[in-house]
Amino acid sequence: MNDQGDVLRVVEAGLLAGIRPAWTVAGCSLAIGFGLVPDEGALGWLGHPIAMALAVGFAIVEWMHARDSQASALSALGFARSGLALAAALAAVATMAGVEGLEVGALEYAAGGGGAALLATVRNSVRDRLAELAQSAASAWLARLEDGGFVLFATLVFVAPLLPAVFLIMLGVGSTVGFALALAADRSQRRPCSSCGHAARREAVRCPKCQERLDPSAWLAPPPRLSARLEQLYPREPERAR
Amino acid sequence: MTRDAPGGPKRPARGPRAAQSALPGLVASIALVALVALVVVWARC
Repeated sequence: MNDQGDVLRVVEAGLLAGIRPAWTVAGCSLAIGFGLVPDEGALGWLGHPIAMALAVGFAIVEWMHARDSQASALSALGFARSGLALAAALAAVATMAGVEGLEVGALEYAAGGGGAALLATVRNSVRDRLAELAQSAASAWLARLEDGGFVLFATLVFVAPLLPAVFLIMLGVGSTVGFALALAADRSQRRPCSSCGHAARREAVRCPKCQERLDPSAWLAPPPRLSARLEQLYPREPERAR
Repeated sequence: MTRDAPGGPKRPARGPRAAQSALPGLVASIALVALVALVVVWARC
């Protein structure tokens, strides 16, 4: 593999942390501990047996945590996850650079770390959306999908570094379309408040911003053309005099 | 054993409310595509 492929490989190793940060760190720790990294640099301590045991322990905790639908419900935790992904990505970039014997600069670290944080943000958002739609069943299946995806991605990084990049672009385009649709659906469920213009939900009885009373019946009523058609199809019988 | 509160069982705890915007996800997705495309171009040339 030429130098260009190596750069892609190093950045993708960082991106792995966007899905499972602790698994990525455990992978780095085991690789250093078992002597697979000739030039480990500042990360040599990760190869210490205690560090290896801790990293594997964290990876197991992460594996269990990914299946807990309530644990990821806090957005603060999602934010922490993006930061964790960034930190783990920097370690992965450094470890992979050691494996490849490649000198890496700020650009590689920025691409790996930033990409992992972005991937973690996309993942958290997808997870939150799915949790709204299907609750815990979806998060369990998403966790399985992520486990499989991580293993496949990690294998492909070594075998065919271009494929994970193509897969990530497809995933990104797909989720862009999905989020755009979700945003449009959310907008269509909102109406401007008559007082302050805030986009309030259709069923709201009070504007969340200015506390103005809103009339949800006007918004929830069927459109006039539909009402006319219903009247035409099912005419109301006149009250008969007895 | 504790008794159920009057007025029926408590509503089960739910995840983040639907009020969460899809905007951060949309922005992050677009940025991720741009970044990966840039890295691929950078690695190729």
